Amino acid sequence: MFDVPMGLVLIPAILAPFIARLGEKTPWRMLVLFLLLSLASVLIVALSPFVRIFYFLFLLGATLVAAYAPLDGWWRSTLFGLTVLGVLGCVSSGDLFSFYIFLELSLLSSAILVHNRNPASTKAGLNYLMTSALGSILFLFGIALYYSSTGGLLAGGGPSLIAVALLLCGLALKSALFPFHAWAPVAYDESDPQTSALLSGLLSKLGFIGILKFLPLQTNILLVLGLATALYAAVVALREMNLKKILAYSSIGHMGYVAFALSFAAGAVPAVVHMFNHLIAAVLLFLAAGIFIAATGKRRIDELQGCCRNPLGVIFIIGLLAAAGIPPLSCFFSESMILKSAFDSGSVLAGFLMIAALLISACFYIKVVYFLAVKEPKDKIVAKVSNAQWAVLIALLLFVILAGIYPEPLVRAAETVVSTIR
Amino acid sequence: MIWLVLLVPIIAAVLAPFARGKAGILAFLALLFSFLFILPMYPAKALTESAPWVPQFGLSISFRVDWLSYPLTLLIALVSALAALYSMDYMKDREDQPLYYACLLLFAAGMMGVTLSSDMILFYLFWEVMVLSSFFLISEWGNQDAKQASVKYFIYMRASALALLFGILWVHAATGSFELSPGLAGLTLLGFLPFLLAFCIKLAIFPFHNWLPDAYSAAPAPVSAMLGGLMVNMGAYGLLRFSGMFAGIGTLSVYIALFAVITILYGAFMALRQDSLKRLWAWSSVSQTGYLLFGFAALGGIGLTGTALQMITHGATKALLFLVAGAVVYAAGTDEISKLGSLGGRMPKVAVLAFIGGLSLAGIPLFAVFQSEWMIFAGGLQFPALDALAMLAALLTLAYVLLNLQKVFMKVNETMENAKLKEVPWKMMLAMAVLAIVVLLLGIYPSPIMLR
Repeated sequence: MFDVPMGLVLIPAILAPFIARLGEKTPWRMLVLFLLLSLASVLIVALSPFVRIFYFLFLLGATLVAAYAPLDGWWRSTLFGLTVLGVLGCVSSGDLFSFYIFLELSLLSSAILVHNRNPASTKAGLNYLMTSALGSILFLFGIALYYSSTGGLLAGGGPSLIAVALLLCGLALKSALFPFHAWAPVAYDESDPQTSALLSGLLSKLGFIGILKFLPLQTNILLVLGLATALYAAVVALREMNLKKILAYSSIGHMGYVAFALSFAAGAVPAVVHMFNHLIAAVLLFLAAGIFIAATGKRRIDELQGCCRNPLGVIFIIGLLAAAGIPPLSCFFSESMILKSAFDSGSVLAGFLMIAALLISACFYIKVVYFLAVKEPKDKIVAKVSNAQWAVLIALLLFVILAGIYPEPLVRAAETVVSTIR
Repeated sequence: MIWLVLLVPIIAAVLAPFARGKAGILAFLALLFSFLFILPMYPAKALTESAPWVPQFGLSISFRVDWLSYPLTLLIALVSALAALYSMDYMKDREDQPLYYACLLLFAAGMMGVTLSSDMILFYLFWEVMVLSSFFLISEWGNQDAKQASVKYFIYMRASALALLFGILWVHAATGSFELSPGLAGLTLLGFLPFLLAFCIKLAIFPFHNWLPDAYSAAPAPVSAMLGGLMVNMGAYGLLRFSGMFAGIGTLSVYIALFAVITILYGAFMALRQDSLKRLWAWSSVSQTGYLLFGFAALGGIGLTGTALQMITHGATKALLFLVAGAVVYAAGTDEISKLGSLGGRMPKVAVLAFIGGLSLAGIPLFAVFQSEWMIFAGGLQFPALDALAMLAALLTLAYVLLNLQKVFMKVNETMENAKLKEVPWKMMLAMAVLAIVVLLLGIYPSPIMLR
């Protein structure tokens, strides 16, 4: 199963000590450069299709996030690189234990990224770390039981129910599925935009990478987890007024859709497409929201009122509408196809509940649109946007639009992924 | 080549923000192109074309021009082009005009996409393009009430769209295909209910009518003309298009007719009480959507032909009336009926156009709506009591039209007599005149667009 040249995976990690030595100014540039190199090498080096596609996607996301703004201090770039390494390692690991190691790596380095800003973020970071540590213990315990019931750590075999349950708990915690979601809104809210984008765009997918690789799909527990997450996140977000927390709940809800999709036979392909689409939309939203929040120093949507009545705001609103699943933007397509897989397998009631969740979430999305874009601003908001930020956001925007209008290449990639998981 | 009808306005919408002052002309020309392009596609039999979109999920980009979609698409292209022409003067002093025209173009393209699509997911896609662009048209360029109205509009429309999606997926699960084909038939009635819900919300049938008066009256006049003249038909179009797939709708028809008549009467009574021209036409639209549904309830025969024709005749008429209301606002600065008066002498051309529209709406022979309304009544004879009520409501329509037009154009009002009125520019006059000619022509000779 280890068909991946580890050198490739290790590029960002090898980078870390280099960055540390290079002093105060250049580490961030080095990080972006190395991420670009890795991205290019993914296309050249022989990899299994599953690994290649996920590498490409995650590296693309990570590169855009990193290119968006300089990461101050060498340690931030280092931790960023280590987090990406953890994510990539999870994708290519062939057995549960190496998956676990890379999962922990991404967790620890991202927790420090969250934690080191101000007292509130320290609290959020610790909260994230402690909760995830609990998840890790469950996961490790699950690994032990998995070993004892199948006699190995590779995928396949018939793991005992309790092992599956424990592994699922650990993975659900990483992906912030209800009722394991509590750490996420706080952590997303308190960290800087790039870390939030990394957490919501990349790290939230790791749970599903684990589920896809090691756990039985098409189970009712995934269906229930998915539905509960989607409904819960939509309802809670209705009352929330903090912009980044709303985005966090939106992200949690989307992970619910993915879990929901994985519980159906035909749902794996749309689920993978949805992971692609959500990665891009979440990165776009957190990065763009970060600009407004930095410009005004405010976080509540009623205080940020009218901040989206400018070209940057248009990009943000389009991203938001994409996340709301409104055609012709990216998430509409994958959401419709997820629902299609539910209807086709006869689960009309589940499909109906999911559509109800979509309707409720439309209400909170329109709330954000109303406050940020429809209402006039109270006082003039001047957001400074650098050229790099424009470039990153426009690239993301193009993806969001194209993936809704012409999703065929994504579907083809997702089909390849699904057929080569194990 | 049907896709060019949609592609040209969409490309124009992308270009419009860069066209600055020329955006209005760009929008007008793009929509005129669509109109002229669709005109010669007169369908002796249905024209279809199809290309794979996402074959893995059985989705295709497929379009159809047939008896139902041809006249409606033509009307959409025409009225949208005229709305763009009208906006060049009407919206002259407003901010962000290039964006306005971009939204207007997308709105028109969305509606034409809805009428032309013959893939259900494509239908849903264009449906939401239409809703989203009209949402921004209302919220950004409407009056002071528009911001709240637009949110209400959005939530109702989202509910409608998700019901539609539910229905589409249900049909797909039953048939294994996303094709919106008229040949398919015999699905169980249960699957029709989500479509009925979706399209009744869209039509603003009582008790789902609440969003319509606010949204229509808050929008700027050319947008109201597109909402009230074009988008109002989308629900009826959807019903006509999708209902063919299901068996046994007949058991529902009397209930459908009942709600239709309630809507007709309720809308007409509310219209009588309005003191703003645009709110008057908005409530009148609620009432008229009832007629569309009432004709549909006859399920086939002359009633259905009537609904198909009423979409066109009422669409042109109501678009004309909203544009007239806009001209009154433009000239006199208000559309409050109690503050208006004496306009007949001051702006005689607009008055003539208003009466052409008003008499047509009231169903007077020789004007367009009469040609379709009698068919709806004829089809409705299977529910005699309801039919009688619907005819009674036609009297109410005549009452609210004549009372209000009399107040605005004939009643002597000292302040208006001496007020300084703005001259209505020729582009606005031209847009209204073209619609008035359409209304008169359809009133005399509607058969070219009756293809059923």
